[in-house]
Amino acid sequence: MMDGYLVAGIVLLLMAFGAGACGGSALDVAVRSANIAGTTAITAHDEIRALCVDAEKRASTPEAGDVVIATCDKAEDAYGAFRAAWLTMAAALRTAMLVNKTPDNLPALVAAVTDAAKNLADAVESIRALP
Amino acid sequence: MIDTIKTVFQAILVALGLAEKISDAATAPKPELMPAPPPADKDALDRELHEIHKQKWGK
Repeated sequence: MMDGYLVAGIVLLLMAFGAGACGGSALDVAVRSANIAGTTAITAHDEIRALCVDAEKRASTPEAGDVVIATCDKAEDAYGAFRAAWLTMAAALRTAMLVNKTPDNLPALVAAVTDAAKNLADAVESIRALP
Repeated sequence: MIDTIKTVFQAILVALGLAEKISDAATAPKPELMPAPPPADKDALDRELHEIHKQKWGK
């Protein structure tokens, strides 16, 4: 699944480059990219909960259970950061859609979402790596 | 001569194909921005995990 997040991040990045290159439809591409990122976030949100509950049930000692809880806290933080980056990009896109102009800071917004996606992928992978 | 005609014919087909794609793009509906993903619910997950922890080890 980590690969899925990374692929989504890479796709997002590539689409952002494409948005800069294709003129009139740049805003449409950016909106579609944001939707891909948002769908990724929803998948991650559901997956974190399911993986964490399974990991806690599998834990063989109280200490191992504590590690699960700490790891899952970090994953929730990563999800929160991803969502915050997405909301920032979405707000900029909503404004841009009203005036039909691609935001000047779109590359920075996309970079923030992509970085957050990578962090989220790492966090989910760390849950998967639990015994 | 035949090669030239074939080349021109192919060029026309390519141009027509591009024109069709440009036309499709122009008439395609504008994408809508999806609703925001659900907020993080760290406390709820934390409570659920601590409950499992408590059931297994009593603390």
